[in-house]
Amino acid sequence: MKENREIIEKLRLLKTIKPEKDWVVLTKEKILGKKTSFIFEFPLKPVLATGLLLFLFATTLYFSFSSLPGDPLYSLKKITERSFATILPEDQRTNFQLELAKKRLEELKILAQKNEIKKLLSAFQEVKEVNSIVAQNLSKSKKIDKKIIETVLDVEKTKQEIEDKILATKIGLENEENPAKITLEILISDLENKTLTPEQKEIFEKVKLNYQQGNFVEALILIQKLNETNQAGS
Amino acid sequence: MTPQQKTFSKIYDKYIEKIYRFIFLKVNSKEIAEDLTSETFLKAWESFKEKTEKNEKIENISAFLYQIAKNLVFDYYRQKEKFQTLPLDSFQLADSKTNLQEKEVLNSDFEIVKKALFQLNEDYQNVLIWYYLDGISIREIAKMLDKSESATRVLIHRALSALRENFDKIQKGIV
Repeated sequence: MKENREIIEKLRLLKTIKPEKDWVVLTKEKILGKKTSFIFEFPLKPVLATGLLLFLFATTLYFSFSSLPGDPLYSLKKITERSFATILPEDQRTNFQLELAKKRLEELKILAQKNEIKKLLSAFQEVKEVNSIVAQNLSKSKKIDKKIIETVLDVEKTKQEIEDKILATKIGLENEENPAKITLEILISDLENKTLTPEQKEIFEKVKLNYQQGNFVEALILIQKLNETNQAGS
Repeated sequence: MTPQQKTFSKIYDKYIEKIYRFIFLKVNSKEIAEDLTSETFLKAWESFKEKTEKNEKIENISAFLYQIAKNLVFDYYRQKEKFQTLPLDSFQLADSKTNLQEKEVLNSDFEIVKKALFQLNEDYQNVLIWYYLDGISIREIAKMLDKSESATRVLIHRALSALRENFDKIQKGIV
């Protein structure tokens, strides 16, 4: 029993682990999108205090934009982006999130080039997370326009370049986390029900073959080509 | 602030330290803990908004938050397995008044117990953190684990024994 009491006392030492106060306040502000009551702690006139607070907030936010995964201000940047995504109209949201997916890949590239192994792990997680959100949105909406194909292709190209030239390994997205795969699945199933010219059919067969082989960049380029023949024909 | 924001703000204030500590003890890195904690509350806020708009309620907010945190930690480790890196940040003590000698003793026990806890399996870690650090009742923990109260008591007892065993081994330099 005495031994138990001792180990419990030692275990309770871990109660001293606490997050930094500034981080707690800033994170809350970002999540709720509102200023919290710590403004009243300043012995300044409310207007001046608000101005100062806004200035500090804007400065912190500004610096957070250049932060990378694993940096103290990174979570602030992420919350800002996510809050922005929620106010966008639905048709623009997927494209915005695809832009974020590209941004996450660029961050991963920077960290890999700097050989920041510890931060790289967070960067991988960020890439997977944003791709998973995009893939889910695409699966739900089932609407793929020309702009989305273009951005998905751009993201996939960037991913492939990083995998081949920088990491020398696959980022390893699961099926449900892969926007290029989901996009192609939707487009292929849509095209299966359409009447195609012999030339379009030939391209479509190539699209399917490339998709099955996991050559998503090639498959997306062929889809663009297919769209062009469609426009030329109409 | 809207009533919705006010309610969530109270939830945030009540749980932020607990969730941060819960995650920190599992990932052993300040940056990653901050990141996963903010993600936990962001997800919770989105869910909370959605549910209140539908006039639904979150039955057990603490279980709900810990579940999100557990899932995020799980995802983090799943990802980590692929890349085999280990963050080893040092801990910071909150109480700066402690004198240097006391701090050294505290630090050494602190480090050992932290390592001993880190080496336990997930269930043991969880029950010890919830019961001894976060002050959650046995009844509540039993609900969170979907176990009976007596089974939860046994689990806590075993977890404590395993922690003591790990602590002794580390102290003697066996591990």
